[in-house]
Amino acid sequence: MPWRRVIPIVLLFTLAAVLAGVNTWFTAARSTIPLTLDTKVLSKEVRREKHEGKDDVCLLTLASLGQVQVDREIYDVVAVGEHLKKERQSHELRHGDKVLPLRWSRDHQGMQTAMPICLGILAGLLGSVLSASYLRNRHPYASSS
Amino acid sequence: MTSRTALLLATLLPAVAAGAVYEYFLGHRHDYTGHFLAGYGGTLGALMVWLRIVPENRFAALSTWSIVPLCLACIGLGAVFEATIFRLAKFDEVDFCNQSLGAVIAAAASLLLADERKPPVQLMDIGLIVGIVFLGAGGVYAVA
Repeated sequence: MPWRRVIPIVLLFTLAAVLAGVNTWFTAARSTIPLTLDTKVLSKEVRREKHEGKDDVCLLTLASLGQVQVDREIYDVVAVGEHLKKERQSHELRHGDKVLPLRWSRDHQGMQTAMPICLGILAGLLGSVLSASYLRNRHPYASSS
Repeated sequence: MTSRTALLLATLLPAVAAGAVYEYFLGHRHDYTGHFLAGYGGTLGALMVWLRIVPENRFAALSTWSIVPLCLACIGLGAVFEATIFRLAKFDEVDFCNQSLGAVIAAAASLLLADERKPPVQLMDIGLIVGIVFLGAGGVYAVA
């Protein structure tokens, strides 16, 4: 087994898996569904990105968490001074005396499918790298043109 | 299959397939595809330049072991870019992850050239051209 080739392969796949997981987590966290909240909204801010209205960054400053990015649907209904309350993984956000039903964003739904497929593509590529190294050991760069 | 064809397939197919996956499932955000492609192209180009300049007598030792650290360096450089010149609203963690995922796939494709003997430099030139094309495509998608 060519360990010096296997180690980078394992490292790269692990790194990709971590990045895919973090990617999916951040899109989930912006829905607040995975979060526990029991805090007050101190301020709201929308920052423009490249495409106004499409990729705006909606930020809430919360008393307990500091500044967090949330999905547009949440940003639009929450007011400064309101108390936010929700349990972890709950799909209901209490703001003031109202309740907002939460749903996963298109970003998160896309990531949930795209990230595993990308990892599958990477696994296929790394598998071919490994098999190519076996073949090359038998037939070095004699026919490289 | 020649080494040139194998390299072209290894550098083109996975990145095009992953880019298509981004467009299909996250097509409402072309900038995600753009960051992925730019991370892929930039890292592939950097790794090809590096492999081209590694001396032949040290290629066996350096080629395999240097790819992961160089990939990490490219990811770090991407983080600096995202935090400075490309920081529009804030440091976007999702953009960073997408471009870094591209960098990892580029490093995986570059492993194909890591060997006991240095492959012909034309292979690295082909990889560099592919990298530049993907970097340009990433730029286009990022602002599309």
